[in-house]
Amino acid sequence: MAWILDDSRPIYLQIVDVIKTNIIAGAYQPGDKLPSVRDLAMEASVNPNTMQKALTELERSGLVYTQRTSGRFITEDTAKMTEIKEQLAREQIQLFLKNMEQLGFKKEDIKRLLDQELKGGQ
Amino acid sequence: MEQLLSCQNLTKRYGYKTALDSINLTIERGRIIGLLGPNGSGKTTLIKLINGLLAPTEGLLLINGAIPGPETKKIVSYLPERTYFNSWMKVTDILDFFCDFYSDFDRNRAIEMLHRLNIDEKDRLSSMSKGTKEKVQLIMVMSRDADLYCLDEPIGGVDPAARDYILQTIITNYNERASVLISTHLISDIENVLDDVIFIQNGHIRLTTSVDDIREQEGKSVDALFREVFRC
Amino acid sequence: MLGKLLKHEFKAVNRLMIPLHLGLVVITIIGRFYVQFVVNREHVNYSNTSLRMWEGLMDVMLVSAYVIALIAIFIITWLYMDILRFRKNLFTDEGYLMHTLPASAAEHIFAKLTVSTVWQIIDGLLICLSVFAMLANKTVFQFFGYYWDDMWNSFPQIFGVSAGIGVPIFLITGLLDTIAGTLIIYMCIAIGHSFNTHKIISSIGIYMGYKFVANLLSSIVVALTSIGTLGNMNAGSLFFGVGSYYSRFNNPAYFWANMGFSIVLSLALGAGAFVLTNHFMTKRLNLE
Repeated sequence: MAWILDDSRPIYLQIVDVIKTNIIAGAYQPGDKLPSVRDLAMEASVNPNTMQKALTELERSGLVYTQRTSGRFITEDTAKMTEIKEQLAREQIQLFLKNMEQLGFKKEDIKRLLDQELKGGQ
Repeated sequence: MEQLLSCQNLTKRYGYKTALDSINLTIERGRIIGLLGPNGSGKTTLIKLINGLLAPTEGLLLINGAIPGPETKKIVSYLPERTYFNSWMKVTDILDFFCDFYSDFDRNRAIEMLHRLNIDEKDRLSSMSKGTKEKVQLIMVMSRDADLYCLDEPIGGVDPAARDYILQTIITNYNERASVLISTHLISDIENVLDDVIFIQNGHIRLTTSVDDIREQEGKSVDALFREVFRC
Repeated sequence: MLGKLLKHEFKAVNRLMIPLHLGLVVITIIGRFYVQFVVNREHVNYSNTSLRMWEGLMDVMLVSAYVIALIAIFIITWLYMDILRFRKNLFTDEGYLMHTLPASAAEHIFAKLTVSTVWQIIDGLLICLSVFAMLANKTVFQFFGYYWDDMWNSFPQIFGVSAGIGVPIFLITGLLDTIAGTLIIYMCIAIGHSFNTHKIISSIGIYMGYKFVANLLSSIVVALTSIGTLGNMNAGSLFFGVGSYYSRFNNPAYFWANMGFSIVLSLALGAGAFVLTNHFMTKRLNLE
């Protein structure tokens, strides 16, 4: 897994995004145990404190939960997963729409082009 | 959190030249800190003062509440920016040396790291390249269970693969009781492993903050901020 | 900690000192065989004068080489143990390691001093033995056997005390003198290396300055009190016998004043040099 990090945002937020994407994409299955903070930090080449902060953030979002002694696990709450998946999708769409608007497209045109692209792709 | 290092009005002058000018600084446990500044800014002077290789002209420097001396040297592990071993020594000689003098030295950890780099314990330093010698030295320094690690330009002259290895070593050996102070001017390389940064210039501390704060408040990397602060 | 420092110090210096002194032993053995079988050769036929001349020339050259080798071994030992090792190990790159060990400056000084003194004693003994082994033959043994009692008995007539007391006192004085000499060199190196630049020149300058002052003070003391600093090289030159010349012989008071003064002076100089070295290695350490 490549942890390509950009310069402008806090590192822990970028790690949150990477792990979220991995969970949604199925790289981690529901109920899977996450590697230890140290191992994850090693993998991402970041400071363990930063990784800790990212995992705390993920716990807050409900995607990850901690079992007192045995470590961190991916949530088995599929409703939660779907919710986050759709939230991420909405973020991407909003970004896409914003970019299209900057190019001067109206909503109808965007819709038309999108339909065309989807048909062509199939 | 507990204070591991504190400097109060710490000043070091060499003749008429002031290398550090009334520095106030504290370092807590469990942090990885970048000591960042241009060449000649006072980074090495500060690290030498921490290790008792220089005596302060004025002010106070305390490690775990004590001024540098035999007691603080038990808990500080130091990687200078030069090689300090005799070239006739074999790796085993160095292991023996560290085992004898540092009670917190973990020989097995060192051997494991040496093997991972394919360094034979029977090798003599004189037969090694400069880069390999530097790695051996880093392994020795990181194989101690110290409270404070001072790494002076650990990634200065090494290739990218070795640089990654060094950063991995620092992360692997991290523990929440200990702090790591890394001096460098190659910021982008180590930015991701840092908690905090100290910007130092002309013997003055320009800024101490966390990496996340820089990114959140300034919206830019430490490297970018550094270039801005120290623009020539 | 001192024990560990000693162990590693011996380990480091033995790498040079053992081969050097094994060399001395080898030179002695070879030299002895040469003396035995060649120099003492009984030439039946000396009609060939040119052969005789060449043989004589070779003898002289080999004896000179032997003497030069002895002096060289003595000087190398002193130079390495007192100056080079101390400076290199504590005030150059190696100092970055040594001064970050959990050992005090005093322990470093003691370790270096002990190892240096031990090797200088070994060096002195081996050189004496070598010379003795080279010279010893039937005549020498006969001479000693014949005159030993006379020499032993005449000792008090010169020094005023019996040889049983005088010889150990001389040895103790010599040892203390060696130790003080080493510490004074350490002091000069430690002070010189506390400067920001010209560390070596400064060290040498301090040593010369010290020698000048010591000689001056020594002359004054001798002139005022007639007490010479017998055997004490560090207090200045040897002023043995300056002053009340006539009272020198067979005078226990003179002997004790002289030796007592030497011993006290060595102790004082050594202690002073130690304190200063320690101070400059803790409060004024200035590694480049």
